Amino acid sequence: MLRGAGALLILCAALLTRRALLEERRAAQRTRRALAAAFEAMEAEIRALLTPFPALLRRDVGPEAGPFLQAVAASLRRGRSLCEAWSGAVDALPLPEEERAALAPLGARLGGDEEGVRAALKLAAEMLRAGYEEAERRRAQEERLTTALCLSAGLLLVILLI
Amino acid sequence: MEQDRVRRFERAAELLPPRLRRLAMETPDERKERAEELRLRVNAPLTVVTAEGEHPVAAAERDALVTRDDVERVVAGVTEYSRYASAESLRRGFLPVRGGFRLGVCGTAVLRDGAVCSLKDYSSLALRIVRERVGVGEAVAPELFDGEGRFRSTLILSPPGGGKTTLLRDLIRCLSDGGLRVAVVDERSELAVSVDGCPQTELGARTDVLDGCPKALGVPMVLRAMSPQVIAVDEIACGADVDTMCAAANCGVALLATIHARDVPELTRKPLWRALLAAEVFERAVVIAIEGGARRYRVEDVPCSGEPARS
Repeated sequence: MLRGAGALLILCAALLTRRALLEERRAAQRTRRALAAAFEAMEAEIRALLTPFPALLRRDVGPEAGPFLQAVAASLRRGRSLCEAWSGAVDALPLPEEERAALAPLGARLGGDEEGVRAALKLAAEMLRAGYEEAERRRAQEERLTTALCLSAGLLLVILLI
Repeated sequence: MEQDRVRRFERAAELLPPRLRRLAMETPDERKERAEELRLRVNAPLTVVTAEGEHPVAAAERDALVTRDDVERVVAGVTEYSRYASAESLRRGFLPVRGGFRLGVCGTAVLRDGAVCSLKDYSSLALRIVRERVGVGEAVAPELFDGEGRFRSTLILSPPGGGKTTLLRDLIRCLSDGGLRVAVVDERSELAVSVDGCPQTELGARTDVLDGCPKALGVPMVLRAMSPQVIAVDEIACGADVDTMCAAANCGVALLATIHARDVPELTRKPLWRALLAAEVFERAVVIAIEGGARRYRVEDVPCSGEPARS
């Protein structure tokens, strides 16, 4: 009876781990989609109205992209350069290391002329959309793999312990 | 008034990076009161410009040396990290600054099709502390109306640095608060110093400002859009400006403008101004003279076609 309960608890833990891993991926997907939309909106507003960054960073862009823009704005208020502020905010994004490494250098292009800034924002949006589509394409496979790994690990632990 | 000038200097100094700001704040109050500009040049000390000349802010020059990073930081701060939003202003070599200041910028010009399209590698900055002297035009304004209460088109004359723009700004306020609709075509953003569309200086309750627009384009625009009773511009300087003033006068609007000239006789000696006088656009001139360190304002009739002036 006790062994059965223990095995059940281990399997529950494996399922909870699976759920946490999948939720982490979903959060990354929501962030990619929201940030891409925010960057596209910023690019469009710069093209139409040449709105300066502080005003763009105050826009309500939802709970996924909002913290990123707020982090950039807070860094600027502390007197850091736009490049430093962008890099710092990118570091805190819930995205894989390679995507953050690709987004970080774009900050250096945000201090330039209109064409350069718009190109950097468009590129950032494109990179995030590409990351989103790639993750969507691999989603089913990764979900299966995560499920299999978590359950296998749980079962292995049950076998070893019981 | 003195305290106000000291505060304006200190507000201007707040635009500098911390190290230079600290040095500027240590400037004696007497010099702060008289300060007209703060000058930054890469690899040279930060200086305060007064009517007497340029003064380094620190006794030891090396303490106040300005670096390229300092200059970049000031421009980044003034443009709110959005150089693209100030590109047109920057192309013309200046940036209006929140609080009623103005930043002149020098560097390497980027040319495209023979025209300056941008500036890069900034080397010098002149942070102009716009001197707003509310009330300076109140004694002069009544003299610019005829017996029927009609405002007569007026030129403000003085050599550079004589206070033309300061007087013009206050005359605009006087006319506007006196009930006239005044349109200001602020080509160099010196009159209103507009930031995000908001004038940073007092121009009166009935004043409409078209900011950053060349006079030749802006005057017809405000004529069509705002039906002003008076159009005010700073510094008529070329043939296109003269043509624009003549065209506007033909539309029945009164004009208020400044021009670089010591007095009315000097106007009649220069060919460009003779053309302006011949068109009989302006009826009155306010001549600014500095006597014993104080400015005196003298109102004269403007002669037509280079006739001798009548005081």
